[in-house]
Amino acid sequence: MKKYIIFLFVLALSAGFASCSNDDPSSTSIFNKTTSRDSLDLWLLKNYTYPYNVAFKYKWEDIESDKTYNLVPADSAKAAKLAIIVKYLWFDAYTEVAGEDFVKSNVPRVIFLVGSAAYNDNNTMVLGTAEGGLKITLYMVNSLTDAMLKNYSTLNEYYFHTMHHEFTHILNQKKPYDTNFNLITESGYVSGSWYQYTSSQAHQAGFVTPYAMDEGKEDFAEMMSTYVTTSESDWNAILSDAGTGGAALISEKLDIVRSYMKDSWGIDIDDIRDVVLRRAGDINNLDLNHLN
Amino acid sequence: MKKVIYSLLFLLVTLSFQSCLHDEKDIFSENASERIEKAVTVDKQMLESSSNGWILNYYPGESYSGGGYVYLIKFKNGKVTVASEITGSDSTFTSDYAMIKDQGPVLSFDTYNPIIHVFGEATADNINSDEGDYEFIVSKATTDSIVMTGKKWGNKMIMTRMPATTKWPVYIDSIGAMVDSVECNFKYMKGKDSIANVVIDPDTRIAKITTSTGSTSLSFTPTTKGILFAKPLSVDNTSVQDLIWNGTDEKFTSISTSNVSLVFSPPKGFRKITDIAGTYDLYYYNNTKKYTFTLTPNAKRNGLVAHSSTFPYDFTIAYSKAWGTLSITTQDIGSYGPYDNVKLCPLSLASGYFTWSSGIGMNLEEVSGKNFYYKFVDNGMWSYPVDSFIFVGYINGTRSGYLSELPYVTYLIKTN
Repeated sequence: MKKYIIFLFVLALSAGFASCSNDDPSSTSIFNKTTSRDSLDLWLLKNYTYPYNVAFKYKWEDIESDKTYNLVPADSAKAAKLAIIVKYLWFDAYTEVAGEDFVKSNVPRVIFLVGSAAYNDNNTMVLGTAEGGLKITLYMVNSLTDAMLKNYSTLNEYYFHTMHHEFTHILNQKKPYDTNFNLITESGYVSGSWYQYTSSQAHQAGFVTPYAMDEGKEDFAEMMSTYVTTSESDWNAILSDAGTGGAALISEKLDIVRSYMKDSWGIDIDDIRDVVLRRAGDINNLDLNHLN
Repeated sequence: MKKVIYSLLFLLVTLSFQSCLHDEKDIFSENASERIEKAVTVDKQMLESSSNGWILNYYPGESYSGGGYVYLIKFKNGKVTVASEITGSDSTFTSDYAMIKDQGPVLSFDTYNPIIHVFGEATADNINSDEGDYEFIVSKATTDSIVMTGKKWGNKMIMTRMPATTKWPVYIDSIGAMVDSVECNFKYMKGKDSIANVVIDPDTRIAKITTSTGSTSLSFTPTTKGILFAKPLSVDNTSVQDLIWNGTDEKFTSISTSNVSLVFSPPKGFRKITDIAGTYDLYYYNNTKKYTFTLTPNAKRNGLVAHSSTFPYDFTIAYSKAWGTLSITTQDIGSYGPYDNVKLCPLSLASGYFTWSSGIGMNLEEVSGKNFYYKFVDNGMWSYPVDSFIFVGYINGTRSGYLSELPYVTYLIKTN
């Protein structure tokens, strides 16, 4: 009897699973199949998307932007020039030292350009952000002048320092660094109030930049990005400004950065620095007005 | 127990008696993704169909709080060419646009254009920007007009088709001429009754309406014939939106509402710029010396150019169209001799400082009871009292010479 009842139950239930609709999926795709591309789009496809599987997004996409800020799109002509430089100074530099595969597997999948700066209400502004190793956003593209594009120290301050910084975050997210790093200047981290310190104050406290005082992972990224974009004499100037105490702390942290890059990624940071600086010296010879 | 089971079974069985009748007719013949795809395509074709582009009345500022401006926009092959009365008739800027599927069909100006994005761009001093949209939800697209709503700040704006034969520079110049020619102070007349005071500010593009019960603000856009309010202006059961300027009678009239007009009505003591123009003596060194200047209205009618045969530089005395008042503040004079720019700088001789910050200077206050008899008064915008002016020469942006002074200026008095 019980079996009978259960059988009835099953029958009744399965009867309830009746489908009444002939809702076959529509054959029409919801995605736009016809995309018109201009010469810059084609160049980006050839130089970023096909070789590295990277989307270089210079056109505004609301969904990619940080809606906390009031931002405007990038100027397309300036975006094109920046695209040429980014490839030359960043992608190609790492390819030269660590090989194409390293770059392919570790660069962010999306590079998103924003025309204006992201201003915070404490008189600071965001120059770049990296999100989960997936995306790097670069701001202030519209402020680029031709003079700035030929001036490495300006470019470095606004972009390349940022790119190496954010790229370091991506590497750290894939392979964590030795947390002993965070202990070396543990008492020096001031989180959000870093911007109240001058460069010299930061140096003397054992940090390469004021922003390094934010927290350990930012310190690590600042160490790496400052080191590989700074000539030996400028680096020594930072160390001498830091005084004996500060210089010792910076060097101790640099040793961890150096061994992390060597052990985790097989990269000698001095090689990276040499290549980055050599390429930086060449940017005057780059043709920024033609997409080759 | 059995009863419970049977009743449960019964319940389950009734659940399976669902109706299979397809009696719900689809409201739309196509599904949602097909419809939006189609809307995007149709809207894009519509935008590109106007060979001479569209006229956009652009309203920045949430709830129409930022005035109104006229843009001319032409769409072609994914590119957009824009001109505006702000940047003038001789400049156009080209950038990209896209019709995208977002919150409905959305028109996105997706690369930077100095005209389109100027109000949306934040600066260090203004991190909230001027609240200008550059992405618009298109709700209606016809051959005559495109109705759309700003995605971020929510202002509804309308683009109307630009006549195919109208030249852009001519159109832009006629808007500029209208902005320069309208007066600012009006009485809102319903029949023969004055029921409100209206101040039309051509700089902010905001009208201030004062009635016996209070005051409100309303943004407007200049047109080739007058002005267009962002929303109908309603006072005392009358409503106007599109006003036509009549320069001869100095009044605005409405096509749709015949018994309403805005009649020029200057505040007490108001001086028209044409009445101020003439020959003046400028007294300095505490009335012991004087220069003779002729004052001529400039093209925008927001200042009078002061020229003298005995003084080396022409400078501008600013004129407030809304109040008819005069002032002299920091200004660039132009090149002179070896200097690529000469700056007129307010000077405090009593304190020994001068400044090149903008907005600082002196007002010219008309002495009561005396016509066109102006007294120099510090405008109080600086920490030192301004009593004089100094002309400073610049070469490549560097201060390179102190050229002339107008020390201890006192009065500007009309002689002819």
